[in-house]
Amino acid sequence: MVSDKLQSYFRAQQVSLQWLPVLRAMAAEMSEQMDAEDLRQLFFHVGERFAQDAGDCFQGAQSLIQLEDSLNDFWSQINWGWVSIKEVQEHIDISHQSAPLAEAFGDEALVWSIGLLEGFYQNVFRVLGASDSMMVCRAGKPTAGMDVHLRFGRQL
Amino acid sequence: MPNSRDDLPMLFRSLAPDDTGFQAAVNASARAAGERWPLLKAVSPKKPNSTPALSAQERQYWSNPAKSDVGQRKPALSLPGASDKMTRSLGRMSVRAVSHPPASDRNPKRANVSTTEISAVQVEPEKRPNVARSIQPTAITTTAAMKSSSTLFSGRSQTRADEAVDNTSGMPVNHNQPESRAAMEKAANATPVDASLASVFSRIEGKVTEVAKSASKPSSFLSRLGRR
Repeated sequence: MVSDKLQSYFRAQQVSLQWLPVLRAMAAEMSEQMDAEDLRQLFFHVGERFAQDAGDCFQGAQSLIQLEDSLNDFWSQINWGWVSIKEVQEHIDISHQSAPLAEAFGDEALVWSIGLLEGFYQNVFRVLGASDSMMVCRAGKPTAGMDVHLRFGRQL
Repeated sequence: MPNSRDDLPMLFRSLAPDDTGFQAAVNASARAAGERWPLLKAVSPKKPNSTPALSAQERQYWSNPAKSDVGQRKPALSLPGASDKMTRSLGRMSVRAVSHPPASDRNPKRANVSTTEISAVQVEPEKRPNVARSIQPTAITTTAAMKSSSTLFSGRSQTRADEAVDNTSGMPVNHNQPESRAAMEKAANATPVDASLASVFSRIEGKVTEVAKSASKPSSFLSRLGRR
């Protein structure tokens, strides 16, 4: 289908050719040296540090709508897709579209590379006043591709 | 020594630079360049054809274009504007009104009034989009990339606004206008659910069981909630 071709085309544009082979090689090597959970924790901390550097972009948000807009301004600057944040019953649904994680580290590494966005959003909500009893985690089964679904709520 | 001013021009002429040597050098260099680069010979500029002479009619046109018939051009066809369309529609309606007058009243004055009323109703919708278009989007971001993203994401935000806002003003809802975000914020404030992050976190943590309770006393209830 045309949409699949378009998606493949634009996904190939997400990561710089200068770094793509290095990132893929790094992901392959790390996968052999460490297990997926450890890698996910590593990337979780990387994501937290990433959010600390971007704190100016979202610290002034007063509502979920403002937070979504601020984050999307930030993501669009660095070509990291966009995010939809909604309050759903007892948690916050985070749908991050067109994230370059799968293209950068490979679809098979998405199991642990998703930790980067988990750590990022965890830091975002912590800075905005959420308690430490609530965590960001993957929502549903891991899926290959550019879309990442997370949820922020009480630890289960 | 020159004794009079008449000798000065002759003196200056005698002091004029002798450029015969310079010219000879230039010519020689041109010949040498042509020999070194034969292309220069091949692309040597040719004298253009002489300008054709003007005919009497053309001469008359150029001398006095205002009076000449040659200069007169037919007006270009113009695209029909809104006034043309309105004229045509009014004409059609007037024909219909005359041929099929209302059964209740066959007074020609009434027919003209109804035509006027119909035309007024037809004119009215055309005014409405201008009001929506006149509202300029507020600047939200600082870079061009940010602006493109705000319009990209304003569509989904407007969907939530439409769900929350009951549009009773009769204004057409433009989903691409960022001012709908302001309407969404107002709607969020108007509804009982507190949209602030603190209340969101409280609800998620389970501190608030019913949303309606928080709506009844927003100021006093939320003031007792504190951040951990």
